[in-house]
Amino acid sequence: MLAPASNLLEAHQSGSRAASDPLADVVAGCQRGDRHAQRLLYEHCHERLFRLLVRLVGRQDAPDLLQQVFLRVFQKIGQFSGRARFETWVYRLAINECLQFRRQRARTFCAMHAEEPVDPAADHTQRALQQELMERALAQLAPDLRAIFVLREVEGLSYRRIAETLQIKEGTVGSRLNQARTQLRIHLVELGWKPES
Amino acid sequence: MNCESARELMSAYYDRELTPDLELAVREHLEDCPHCAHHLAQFEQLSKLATELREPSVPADMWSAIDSSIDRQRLRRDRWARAWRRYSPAAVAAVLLVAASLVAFSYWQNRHAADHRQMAATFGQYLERFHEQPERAEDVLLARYEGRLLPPEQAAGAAKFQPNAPDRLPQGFTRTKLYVLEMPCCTCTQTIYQDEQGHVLALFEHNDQQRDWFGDRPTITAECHGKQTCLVQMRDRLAACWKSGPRHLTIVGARDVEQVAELVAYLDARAPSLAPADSVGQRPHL
Repeated sequence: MLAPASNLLEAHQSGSRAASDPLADVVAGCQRGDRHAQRLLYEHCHERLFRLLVRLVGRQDAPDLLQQVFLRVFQKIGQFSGRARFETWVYRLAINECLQFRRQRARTFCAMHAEEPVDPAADHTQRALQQELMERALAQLAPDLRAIFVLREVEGLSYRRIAETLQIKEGTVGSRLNQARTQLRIHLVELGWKPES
Repeated sequence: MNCESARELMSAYYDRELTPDLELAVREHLEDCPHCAHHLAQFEQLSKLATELREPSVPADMWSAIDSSIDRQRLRRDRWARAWRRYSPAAVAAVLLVAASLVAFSYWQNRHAADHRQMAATFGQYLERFHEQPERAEDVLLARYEGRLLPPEQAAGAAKFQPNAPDRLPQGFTRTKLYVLEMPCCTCTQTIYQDEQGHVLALFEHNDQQRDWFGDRPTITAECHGKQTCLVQMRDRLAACWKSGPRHLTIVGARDVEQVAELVAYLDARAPSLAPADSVGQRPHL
């Protein structure tokens, strides 16, 4: 029987559960189909997953995809064996969903980012303009390069965790990041970004 | 270290993922190379831009949307599970029945095809023997199909139908013997006729058409005495098959088409009608 949600949350926050992965009990609860555990898992990862999805598919489609990712997580969580960190497993699943989503909408994908709705309340300061430039330049990166850049620069994952998530060799991470950074810089310059000298 | 090697390691250096030795080598290169140092500085600017990206906010009702979807999924799954529990025995039984039927059908088909190949081969031997030794040709069929020599009045009981088998045929042929044969395709009667010169005719009577008996021998269909008749060439003689009343008749050993036509007319005139009067033991009108 799973402990009450509040206890689980406290246990998770205090890190008093299994040393290997503090989410172990929550994951076990989800594997039994416990709704409290599912809610806890959602609370634990939804912000990071949403941020990742926004960077990978854009603001417009990220909410639908987030819902889809969580349904897939709860559906497949029985297959999670605990060999990898749970977060790595979730990131991998989310990125696969993004790639599948992109394949399904391959024809409209490039246009999709270009058609991102403009926030009328957004400010137009220098910082806001740079944020917009970065989002546009990111959208122009190939999906695999975009994923690796976001996992490193936005999510702060180590090379080892990136390799586990994308299921590539650890030695490949550095060279892919080189490509991602170089191409991103080129796209930014094309969009009018002026690097500091 | 040259620029190319340094650039290859630039990301790993920037992210502090290099071994101490490599990190030192890259750092020493950067101190002497303003181009590579500039390249590295741009990585820092990209990082700064990435950290300043707007933090997206998750729609407030996201969990309730997921929650409802989970409910819908469970409902669908439960419905399937109930349907499965309810109908699976019937489904399994149906699948097993279909599989057993397929196996049985396949077995029957193979067996049927093998029987027909065997019959064609045996009948081929019979026709060859008929050419060489017509008065002994029936031995081929008797050995193979448990032929029983019976008096005409007992043939109906054994064959489960009343054979026509008249005592005489046109052109001086007289009945000499009557056999009942148990063939894989059917039970049939074989009546042997002979004339004074020793010419032999064999008359087979059976319930279904048996063209398989003749295998791939040349065959034509002709009208003999107003009746569609299948004619088969067997060296210097003819075999012929046609429907006569409720039965199919096959005659072996006819001299020519005229003789076939005469036999068709003669036997059809004596055939039992298709009406219910064709019961076992009842003789046809002569």
